[in-house]
Amino acid sequence: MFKKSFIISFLIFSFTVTFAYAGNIGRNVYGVLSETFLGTHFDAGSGDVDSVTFEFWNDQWTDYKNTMKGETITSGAVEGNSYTRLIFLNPKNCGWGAGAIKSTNSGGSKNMGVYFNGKVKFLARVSSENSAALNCNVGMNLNGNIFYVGTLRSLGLEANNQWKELSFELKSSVNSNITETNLGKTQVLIVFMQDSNVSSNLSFDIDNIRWVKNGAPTKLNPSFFDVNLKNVSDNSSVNASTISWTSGYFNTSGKNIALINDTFRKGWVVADKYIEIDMEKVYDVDVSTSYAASVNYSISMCLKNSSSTRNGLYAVTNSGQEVVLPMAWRSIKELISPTTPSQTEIPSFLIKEIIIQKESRYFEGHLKDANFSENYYTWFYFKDSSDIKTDDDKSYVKVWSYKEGLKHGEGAMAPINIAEKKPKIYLAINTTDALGGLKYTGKICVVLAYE
Amino acid sequence: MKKFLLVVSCIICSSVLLYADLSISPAVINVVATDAAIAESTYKVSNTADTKVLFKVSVEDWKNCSQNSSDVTAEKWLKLPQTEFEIAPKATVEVPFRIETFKGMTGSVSAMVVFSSNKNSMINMTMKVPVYLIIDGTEDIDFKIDSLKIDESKQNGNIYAVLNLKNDGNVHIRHTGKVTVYDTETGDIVKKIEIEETFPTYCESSREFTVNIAGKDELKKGKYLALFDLKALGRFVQKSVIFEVNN
Repeated sequence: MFKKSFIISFLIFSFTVTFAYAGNIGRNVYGVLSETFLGTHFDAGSGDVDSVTFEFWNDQWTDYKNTMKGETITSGAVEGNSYTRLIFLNPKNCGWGAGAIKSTNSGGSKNMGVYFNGKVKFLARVSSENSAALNCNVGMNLNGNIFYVGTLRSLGLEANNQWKELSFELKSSVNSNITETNLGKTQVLIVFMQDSNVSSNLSFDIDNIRWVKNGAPTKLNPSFFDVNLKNVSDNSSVNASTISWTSGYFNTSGKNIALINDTFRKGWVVADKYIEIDMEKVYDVDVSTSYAASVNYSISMCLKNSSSTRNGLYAVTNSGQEVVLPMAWRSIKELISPTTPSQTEIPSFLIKEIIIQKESRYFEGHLKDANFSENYYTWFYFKDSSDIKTDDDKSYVKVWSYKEGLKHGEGAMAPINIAEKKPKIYLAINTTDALGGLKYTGKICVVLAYE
Repeated sequence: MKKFLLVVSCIICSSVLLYADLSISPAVINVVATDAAIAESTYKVSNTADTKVLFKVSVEDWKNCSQNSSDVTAEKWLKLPQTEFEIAPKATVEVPFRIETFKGMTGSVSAMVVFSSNKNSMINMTMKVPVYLIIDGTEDIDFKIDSLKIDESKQNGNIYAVLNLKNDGNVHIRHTGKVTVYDTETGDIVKKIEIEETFPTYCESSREFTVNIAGKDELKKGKYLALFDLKALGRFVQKSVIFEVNN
């Protein structure tokens, strides 16, 4: 719990952008009472269009503080670090009571028209001893029209003390007051109103209230992150702990050349396993209609080894000689024409040649497939994780960035975005300097970084 | 036919195969504090996998402006009392952190909290989530739209504006605002676009942002003015650009 000298807020932007945009505008999910989604600013003042306040009142419009209140509870939160408990104080004696999140900007309303045909979603919980709270009405005030779409019970909540996500649609068929025009003047983003007489105090819990656009992704937990190893040959999953390079695996002549007496095939060889990044768990932005989606994270590749000077797979001979095999990655199997990025003109998985412009600890420059122009690069070098710059969109270690989407190439055709929620990362090493009889080691890093 | 298998083995080996499938909340933390203050809170880290996960937590410097670049390292103000954790399958653990500001800190500092686990012996998975700390009362808020132009490439037929935001202050900003598109012939407003809060522009740096002004064939042939009104931390900046649509 933070001491009072601190103001803390939690921001996640991953879902805040309409998928149709390549820029930074539009918001799929508007957080009303949420630590996950941006949106309202509580008591920010009339100059802030998102300013709201939590207002409580009853039918007498008097002494409302004695009839209803809200408490912020930080223990056992299901979303973020806290949730809100709404408490109706002895409703029998005070008539109905209501708690509302109300716009307090200078106009007294927020334009939420773009959420027409979308949904309002929130988490709620009622204990068995507070079961009468299931009769609490849920509604809003649009353009001066106060209305309710149902009760906690009718929206599907049970008095079992379990959190449940409830929702209602922002459609005219749900309530005739829900129109795009009226949503343009949303005065109360949500209101909970208790009108049934009961003999004791009632309480229930709410959290993560948000407005969701029609068609918007709705997943939470944007920081899920996972990768898998798969076989290049048939895309089957492998439960392997290592990635292997098989000599001649991609040799067009079909010959396999053993690494005996330094006769291992020289040049770049692609691994027989690839890394699949499971971005379905990371993001919900549909990138299929846009060349780049605005999400506030990047995914990068890095490589660690035991060398202090060279990056690549590392080994030491018995005589103490260090041997490093340069390593590169790319995010697509097929080579892509620089002029027709939507087509895979050469569907074979063959690296004819890769040119290292300059080799040092990090390749200073990028690698290219020799059959394409110098302005088009499909292979990228690695860096150490400490050198990864999250906001550097031009970095060659980026697999995905908010600006470029999935990285397939550099140069004139970049950025390219192909809708892939499970991008594949292929790895290649240069065996030119490989010595036989050694075990080459390296640890690949996959880094998801938020801003 | 003899086949040689060049195997890459692990640097950090473990008897436990570690499959990381972690969820971390929150993803971004913003803190405004006075100097010489202390704050404590926790991250919630969940393991969605069917196997236990071991992970390590560390901090590293992120974006500090020059006044804090040398002697205010992340380790000095962002403390992790515990750095190694084990999570049972489908379980959640809380990772505590502590922020300690001290006299003399000004402007802002930031750090990345790094959660790292081994997917297997060869792949290390890392998630970095930032913490931004502003020292209350010492903010120098100074930013402007350094350049604004229309992207002539018109990706997918859309009209994009590219603005470069320059932050000369000592705190990072996350701007919001609006774009108002006028028909220069009639003076009528033809469109308003809301710009939502997005990536930060760090102190003493610039950042480019792209805004979709109009969709394909959305605007009629003519000349338009796009007026950008941006705000952050109570400050406002404005700039406009004129463009033509030749449908």
